[in-house]
Amino acid sequence: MTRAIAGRRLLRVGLAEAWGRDRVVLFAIQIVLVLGFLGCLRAAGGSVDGWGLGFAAVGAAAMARVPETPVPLLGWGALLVWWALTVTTRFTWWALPAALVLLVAHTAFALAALGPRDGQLTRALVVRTIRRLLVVAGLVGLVALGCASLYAAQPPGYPVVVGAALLVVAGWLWLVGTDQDVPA
Amino acid sequence: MSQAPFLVTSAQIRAVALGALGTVAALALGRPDLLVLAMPMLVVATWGMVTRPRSAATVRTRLGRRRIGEGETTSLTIEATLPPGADLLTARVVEEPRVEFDPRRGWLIAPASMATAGATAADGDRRAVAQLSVRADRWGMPVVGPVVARVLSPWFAYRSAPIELPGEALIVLPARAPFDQQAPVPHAAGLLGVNRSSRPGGGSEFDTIRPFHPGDRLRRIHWAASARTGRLHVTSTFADSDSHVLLVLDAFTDTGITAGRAGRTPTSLDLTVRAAAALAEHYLRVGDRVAVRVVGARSPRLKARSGQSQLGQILDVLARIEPGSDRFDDGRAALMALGSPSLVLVLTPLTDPSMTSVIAGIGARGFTTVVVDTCPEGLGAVATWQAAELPGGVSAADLACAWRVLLLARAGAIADLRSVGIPVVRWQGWGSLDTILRDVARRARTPRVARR
Repeated sequence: MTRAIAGRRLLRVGLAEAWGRDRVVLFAIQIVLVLGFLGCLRAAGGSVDGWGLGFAAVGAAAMARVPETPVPLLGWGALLVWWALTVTTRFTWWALPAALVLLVAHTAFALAALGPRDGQLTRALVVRTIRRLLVVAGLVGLVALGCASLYAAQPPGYPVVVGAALLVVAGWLWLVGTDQDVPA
Repeated sequence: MSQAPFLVTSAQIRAVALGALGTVAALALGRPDLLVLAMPMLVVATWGMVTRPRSAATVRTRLGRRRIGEGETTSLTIEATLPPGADLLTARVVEEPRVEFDPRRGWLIAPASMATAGATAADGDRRAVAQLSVRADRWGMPVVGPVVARVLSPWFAYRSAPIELPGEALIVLPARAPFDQQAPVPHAAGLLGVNRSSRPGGGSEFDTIRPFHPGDRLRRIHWAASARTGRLHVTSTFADSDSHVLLVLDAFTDTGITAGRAGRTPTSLDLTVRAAAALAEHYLRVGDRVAVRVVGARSPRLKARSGQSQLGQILDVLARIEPGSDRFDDGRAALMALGSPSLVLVLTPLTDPSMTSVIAGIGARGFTTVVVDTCPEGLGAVATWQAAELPGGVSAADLACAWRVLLLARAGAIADLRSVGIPVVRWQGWGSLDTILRDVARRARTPRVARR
């Protein structure tokens, strides 16, 4: 076997570690998604000024630089709090694209945390991840539809029903998460 | 083969935390939009938890061809048998300066597929295979690895602890430098070969025209001489014989900028080893017997043999040379039980004083000895060392100055060798030895005194 090893283009800023094309693309996607989330927030009636946008962009770059740390969790937690505090309506359809943005961003962070900065993702992995994203997006769409229906109908005791359903889900999560340990 | 348990990842912690935060806020504030926001994280966290791997993954590595030549490529296969739930293999191969990986830096990722029946595969197990191309840049015995592998579950929720697999030893045979030789080897004394021996016989090189003796072949009759003299005359030839060539390699030091990656100037040992490979291939191809002695490094002595299998053995010995690995060898061991070689070729950069006395010792025993100079060019130039990674406190100018002093000593050693009748010729590939061997052959016909 004597095939030549192909060269790849890498991006290096100053003395920093070189970044591969895939990682640069993921970095850009993560920043665009944060700005996209803020766009949804603004469209939903939330307040986003120039300073907020600037801080968010810088924060997004910081998050995207260290995807394997708790920084993305803190960043996206802050964005959720921002939404909860500034969006005044109880239900808006803009929550659906914002949720999808959050889903894609979470996946992008997880992919970026997989390997070194100049690592290459395979086409098979990307295709499979997109397929799974579509499945989850479909589920989220269904939940949004249910929420919108409940919000529109305003049935008596509706908060109690939702709360009870969530408690059941939480209990089930606790069960599946703690049932047995993996052998060492 | 190695196994490891599974641990939760930062991605799963993020999914659970964001999902929980959104859900609690939705309940506390009575906000369905927050529930919609939290829903993808809840789904992802649940999916990750439900598909959590329950048993350990098994990973193994396999190297394709273990013996390759310089510049050739082999493959390292990392194969994982994944338990139900796990569906991704990532692996990192520790870098080695003498080999180059594709993908770069040896990082691999491979999604799982259903396992085929195998010794370690159980029902529901899946299999992930990642393959790395390994190209050898320099001769030697680089170790490909160790490999650190991890196995991940869907949504990157759980990953195995690092699975460390030992490296696989690769034997990189030296590339044969381009070489050919027209001049015959002096003192050919074997039975079969292409070199002209000193005795008459059935060969191809003209000796003389002599009177016919019973037993001479009729096709050898020289009709012109027979007609002129009135007696039958025949053309006689020298017998063709094989010769015994001894290659002595200087492995006391490796001089130059190491690593030998493509594009860099080869070191002295690179030149020595590649020249030895070229010489061995040439002499074995024409039917001669070749022996190899390595001075200054632990290495087996190869007795003189001919044929392709001998070439394989020689290349193997050359690939295993580690410079300076035998600190107690002053070169005397190389002079023991040499046999009676027709030609001794000493390949050395002549930077170690021990080697000069070794060469003088071989020459004093009456063997026809030629020193092939394999010192890299430009060692005394500052520009050569500016490209190298130097230890702290050493500048390229200092190093170049030190080398100029050493090169002066080397010039003295070369002059000493020439003064005792041992020619020194620079290795330049094609025809490097032709002129010098013709001179040696001429001189070899004269009688001389030797110490045996």
